[in-house]
Amino acid sequence: MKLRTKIRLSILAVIAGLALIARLFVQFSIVSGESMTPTLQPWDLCLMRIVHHYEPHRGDIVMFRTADNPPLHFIKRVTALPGETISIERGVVKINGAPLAEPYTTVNPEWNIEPTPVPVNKVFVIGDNRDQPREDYLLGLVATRLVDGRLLWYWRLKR
Amino acid sequence: MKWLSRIIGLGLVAAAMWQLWEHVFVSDETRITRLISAMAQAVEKGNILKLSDAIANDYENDHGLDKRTLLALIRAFRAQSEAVFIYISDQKIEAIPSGAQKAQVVIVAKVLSKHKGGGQTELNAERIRLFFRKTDDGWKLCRTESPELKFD
Repeated sequence: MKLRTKIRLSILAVIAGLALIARLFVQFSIVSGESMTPTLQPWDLCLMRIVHHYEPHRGDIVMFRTADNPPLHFIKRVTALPGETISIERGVVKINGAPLAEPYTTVNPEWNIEPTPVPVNKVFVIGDNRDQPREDYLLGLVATRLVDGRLLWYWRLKR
Repeated sequence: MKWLSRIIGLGLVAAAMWQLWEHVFVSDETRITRLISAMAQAVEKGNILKLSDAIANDYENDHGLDKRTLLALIRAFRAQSEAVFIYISDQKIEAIPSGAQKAQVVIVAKVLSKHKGGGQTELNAERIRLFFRKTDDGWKLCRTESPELKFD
């Protein structure tokens, strides 16, 4: 085998290996909808770290699926962890009664929710966009088993 | 003229064979999949007539829309959009027993649309349950629902 052919085959093998590793550990996703603005905007390309057993951390931006077959996928921010109680009073998110600092979003005084305990194996997620009226699809409890990925990085494809 | 009658004869035989093939070997699942694909293409191209053909006259959805209103909404949507692309990313056909007259299909449709006049391009994903009924004229869409999503 010629040296040039060997080099080409080696490069191909390395690319295939990297692609395989990437397939196992990361996933790309394109944002649709405006529920995560200003952090994420429509058409942002997200690099997600695939998680099999999600360990919840407040502030994580996660991709999760619905428990339906076939499922839909959403991207939201983890705001309350298992065992905590979350409430929203005039737009201020409170965890166990204490206000939560949220530098990534705005305060919409029209947003209110009653104190809601977060059960074990669930997280409470909210979209960063609070400029719109509160709708059920913008926030809620999600089982941690449905979390498929955690945001590592994103690229703004459209300005 | 002999060659012409031969060509016509061959054409007729081929058409008959095709019909036989479709009747015997094409399953209801395949027919429904084709119908969904044809409906998506009809919306993309703004071919309301073709879309209308695929929908039963007594169609209704879970918001109370009938066939006429649905077609009017789709016509308006197409009129506002420069281009529409529909990608059926997932599809689950509920088991259709042999000879069944009804079928349910759940699809995840990703709709990419560009507004007219240089407007923005939108990407929306919808999970829809489609109900089909077998008629003398083939399968027809008779109801759609947007099932509540489960996060548990």
